[in-house]
Parts: sequence; C-alpha cells; structure tokens
Amino acid sequence: MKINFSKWTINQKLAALTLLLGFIAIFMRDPSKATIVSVDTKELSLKILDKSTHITPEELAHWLIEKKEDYKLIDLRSEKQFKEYSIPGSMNIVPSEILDVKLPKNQKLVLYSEDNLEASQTWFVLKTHRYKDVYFLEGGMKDWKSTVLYPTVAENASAEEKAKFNIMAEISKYFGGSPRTLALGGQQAEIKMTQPSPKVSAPAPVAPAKQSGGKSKREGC
Amino acid sequence: MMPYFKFDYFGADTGLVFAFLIGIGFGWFLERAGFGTAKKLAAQFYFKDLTVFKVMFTAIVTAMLGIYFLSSFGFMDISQVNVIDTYLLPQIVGGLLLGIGFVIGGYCPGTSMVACSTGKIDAFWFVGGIFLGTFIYGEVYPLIEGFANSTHMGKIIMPVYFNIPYGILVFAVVLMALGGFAGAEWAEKKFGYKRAGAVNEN
Repeated sequence: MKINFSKWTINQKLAALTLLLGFIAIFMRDPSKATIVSVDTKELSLKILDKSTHITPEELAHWLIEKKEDYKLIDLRSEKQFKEYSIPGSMNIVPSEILDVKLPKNQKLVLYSEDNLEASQTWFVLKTHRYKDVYFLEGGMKDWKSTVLYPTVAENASAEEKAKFNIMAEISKYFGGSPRTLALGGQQAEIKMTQPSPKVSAPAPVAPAKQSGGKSKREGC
Repeated sequence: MMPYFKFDYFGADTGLVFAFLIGIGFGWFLERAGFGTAKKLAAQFYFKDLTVFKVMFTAIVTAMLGIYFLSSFGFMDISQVNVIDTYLLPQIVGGLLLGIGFVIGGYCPGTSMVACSTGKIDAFWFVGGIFLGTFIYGEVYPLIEGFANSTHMGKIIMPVYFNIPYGILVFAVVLMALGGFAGAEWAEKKFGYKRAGAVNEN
C-alpha cells in the first residue's frame, strides 16, 4: 500500500503529526518522576542565613486563626508524641517517610519537630527534591508551647510588654492553652514543659473548605 | 528551568509585563480566528460552525504536547505548575451557568474583551453584565458560602487521581481531539453553512 503524503492537506498532516507525538508520549519518561535534580547550593546556603524559610509560632498561630489554607502543616515527631498533642490541622509524617508520601510540590509546606533539629534537616531533604515552598516552625513544638500555649509575663513587666502579652494570652486561649503571670521572685526563665497537654477542643482541625488567601503568590486565571 | 515565575527568574511585577504581552498575542489570535463575533461563537452550539471548538482543542493539544515533552526532556518542572483547587459540585454548577450565559450572550469572558476591542456594541453590554454579575455574586456570597466551598478535593490532577500514567492520558486526549475534529467536520457538513447546496458565505 502506497500513501501519497503530498496529496494530504495541511490539516491532515498536522493531525498525523499530533497523533504521532501523542503515541510517542506513551513511551516517554513520566515527567512527574523526572530525575533531574539541580540543587543550587549557594542559593540554599543563603536561604539558611536570611531566615526567610522560618515561620515563628506567632505567625503560625495567626494563620490558624485566620483559617488560611494555602499551606500544609507537617508534624515530624513520633506517632506517640503526635497523638499526645499536635498543632491543629497538622499531619504526622516521620522524617524517614517524607519522600514516600508524595507531598504536593505546588503548595507551601510548614514543618515542625520537637525543636529545630529534625525540621531543619528534613527541610534540606525536601529542598534537594525540588520542593520550592518549604518552611519550618522556628523552635518547633517547644517554642509553640512556650509562646503560644503557655505565654508568660513577669509581674514587673513594662506596659508595652504587658500589652503584647495580653494579645498572646488571647491567642493562647484560642488554642486551649493557659497564659500565666510570673511572680516577681520566681525563676523567670523556667518554663514548665511538663504542663498537661491542652485538650484540642477549641478549633477543630482546620476544615478543608474556604479559599486560601493572603501571602501566596497570586496566580491562576 | 520553566516555569520561570516559580523559579524566581522574575518577580510579580515583571510577570505582569509578560502577562500583558502574552495577553495581546492571545487576543490577536482569538480575533483572527473569528472569536470576535457573537454569531460565530453562538453558531457552534447549533453545530453550524465549529471553528471555536476546533481552535480550542488545537490549543489544548498543542499546549499539552508542548508541556509534556518539555518536561520529559527536563526543560520544565511540571510539578511546579499551579493547579487550581477542585470544588467539584460548585464548579459543575458554575460551568453550567457560564455555558448558559455563553449561549445567550454569544461570548465567554475572554472573547467579549476581544469583541470590545473591535467596537462591538453587544460585547460592551456583555462586559457590563460580567461586572454586574460579579458584584451580585459578591453580595450574595455569604448566603452561598457553604455550597461554594463544598466538595473540596484539593489540587488534584487526573493522572494522579485516577492513577494512570501521564503518557497514556496524553495519548487519550490526542485521540479525543482528533475524533472531535473529525466529528466537527462531519457536523458542519450535515448542519452547517458549508453543507451542500447552502450558500457559501465565505
């Protein structure tokens, strides 16, 4: 059988080309699994310095209260710790499984662990796998407890400090914590970590509705 | 590597400049394809002239193959491409509403702008309607907020959701488009202005 291509109209030629490309596509490497990893170490090390990838506990608290949903909150601690208490709306992934869960790459990710350590290490792992928007909670669960859940203020604090404390106290109550005023003579630096974990009753884990808003880059049509 | 915006090759401000340039190009091609007249746009719903359908599917297939091969060869990171959240039910209802408006008014939002640029009076009324509708939606939003946020499925894409390889999906869409083109040609012959015996308007 002989096919005379010169007799084809331009439309038929284009259609044939499309069909051919579509057919080749079946055998191409899956683009979502492409293995090109280009890590700009210079850029990464600069990011470490400028703290732009840190989220403070206050910021996170505000995001939760505003019910922002343009991010995923990830708890890197053990399952046991997660069950005891976790920040509302977070999901539990242990660091060893972080790459297996196929987290979305086009969404902001906020990591936290007990302190800074696991979160920052996992941050690096994700960065080398082309996750663009990865952040971690500064000070981890420890700082979340000391600044958001159990904020303290000294009795002789200045008016400014007290005003600031009052705001934090409100936030603390929202998350079921308990703000305290430290007595004058008391050991000011000591923050009790053994406090019973608050029952997460106030804000149920953020309902997956509501448009995300705010700081994310505006895009889409 | 693409997408350039996501990889911070330029900021939001420069992005607007590119968006403007691409928008001008987009509008020019829409107008040249005949999308600037309501007659032509409405004719597709009566299978008389399926140019709109054919142009749109050509664009979809071209963009799809382009993105697919660019990312397969490593020029582009497909995982960084923004995907809009899926709210299944509200989006079906919204799509139907848009379709009804399309049939009645003869434009979709983009093509009404194109028609405005050539001074079509009906297009100006249509754009006025867009603003009015947007305003009304904003006003009644508190009442329908629950529905508007229901059936949220997140940022899902078909290959992941249905767990089929990208390539197979690409091929399926190509087949669908080619079938659509053939069907469109057939429908135009049967119902369209181009049918045998009809006066050739061109």
